[in-house]
Amino acid sequence: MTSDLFSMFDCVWGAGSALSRVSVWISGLIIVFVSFNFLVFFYNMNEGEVMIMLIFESIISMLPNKAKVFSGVGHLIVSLYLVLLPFCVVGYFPYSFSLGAQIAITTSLSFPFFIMTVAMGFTPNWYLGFVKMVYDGSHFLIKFLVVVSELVGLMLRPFTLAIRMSLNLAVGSMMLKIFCSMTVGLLFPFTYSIFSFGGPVVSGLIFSVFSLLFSGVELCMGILQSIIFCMLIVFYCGDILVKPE
Amino acid sequence: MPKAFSGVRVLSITPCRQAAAVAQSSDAQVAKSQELAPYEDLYPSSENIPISLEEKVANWKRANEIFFGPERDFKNFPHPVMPVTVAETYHFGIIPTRWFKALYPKLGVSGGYTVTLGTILFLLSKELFVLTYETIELIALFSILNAVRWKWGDNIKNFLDRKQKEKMDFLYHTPLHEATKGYKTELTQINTEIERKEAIPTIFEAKREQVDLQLEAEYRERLANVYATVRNRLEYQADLEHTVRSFEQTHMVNWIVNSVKKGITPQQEKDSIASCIRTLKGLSATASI
Repeated sequence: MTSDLFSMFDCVWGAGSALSRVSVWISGLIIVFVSFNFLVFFYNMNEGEVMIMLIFESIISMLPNKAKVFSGVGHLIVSLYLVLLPFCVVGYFPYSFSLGAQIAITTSLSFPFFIMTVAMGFTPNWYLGFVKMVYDGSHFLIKFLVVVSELVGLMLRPFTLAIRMSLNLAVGSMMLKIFCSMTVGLLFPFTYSIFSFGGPVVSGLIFSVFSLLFSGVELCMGILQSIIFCMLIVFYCGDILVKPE
Repeated sequence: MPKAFSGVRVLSITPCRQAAAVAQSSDAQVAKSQELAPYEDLYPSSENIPISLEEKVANWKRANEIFFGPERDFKNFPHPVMPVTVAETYHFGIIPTRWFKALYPKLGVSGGYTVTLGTILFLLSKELFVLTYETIELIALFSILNAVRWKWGDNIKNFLDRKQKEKMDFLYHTPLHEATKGYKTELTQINTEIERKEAIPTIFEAKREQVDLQLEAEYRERLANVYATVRNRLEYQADLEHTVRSFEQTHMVNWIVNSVKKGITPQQEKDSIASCIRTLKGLSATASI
């Protein structure tokens, strides 16, 4: 079995080994199950659990009051983040792929959460959402077009959420693979012809720097994408509600 | 089952209590062991020994006296303290030194290194570990993580340790300390009340003595009042009698004098005066100056 540039999509079209798929699919649950199960086992928290608690508290503190429209918003967002983070970061590790790079995963998360944000607007003042889109002092046609564009933007939110995450991770993973493929020549320094004059080795050295730096970028990108997803959900929760005044 | 194994009980497979295989020689013991239920043991657990609470407390106090009493040498044999964390070192950044030490008896000092290098070479030569772009990813991952650990590892650890301590203080130590502080204050107050309770009989005796003194003083005051009253009355009676007697005496003297005066005639009076003059003349004639 060999892997290629699009190996991350093997699980989608039925290729690859079940073992690699299962281990990666479990990654989404690893923080939630392992850490929270051991959280009640010992008296004192270890440093990893302290970090998780810090994340918990920082997310809760950053939630605006407007978004806290039902009890459990904090728990929901933190759970979403703790599941999304390994989804995005696991692809950074070799011999695995990001679940967040799969469009099916991201859409299966983005659509329910988007519908949740819309369902929160099912109040007696639901029409005020349209009133918010209208700006005074412009022609009626412009106002109409603005409302239409706002509605289109609203409808596109689940798609943008899903595509933003999946494409960012997929493309980043592919670029990392490309850079690493250019670097693999370093591992076989004596297999090239003498007439290559050390070109593969030199290019391998150059691209190794790129690989190193880009792998750091990919790690940050994975963490950032999960944060963006959660923060956008929070923003949409707060955005949908309008006060009568 | 062979007769040689008739007295031997089979090891039980219960995870909590495993019965030891006991070689029993006498039939009575065999019979007794056969009477025991599967969960019972020839070596009873301390949970099943009937002992009263007072005995338990006494045993604990004795044990405390032995292990933490004045005869215990804390300087040479200090009380062992279990560390919260274990300082662990690593070879190549990921392999614990404990594993190298575990291999030392069999493979010597270079055991861990040869096993590591040999394993890597084995995997590479058999192409169980294929060198592809993912190997570069692995090297990049290893480098990045170690760089982060080398540069910011201590700061991250100190930060997390500080947060851990703050969390534990907030959740457990501070409430516990506040509770124990309150309990200590209450304990001090209770001990003070107990000490006060011991002084109550003395106070009671002092108050009773005080009351007795007051009663004695009242009694003496009343006695003095009685004495004064009786004395006054007696003096009154005495004065009364004295007055009556003096009145009578005066009256009687006056009556006698008046009677005598009434009995004296003028002729007797003249005669007495002449007699007195004659006496005086006689005295004046014989007097020498």
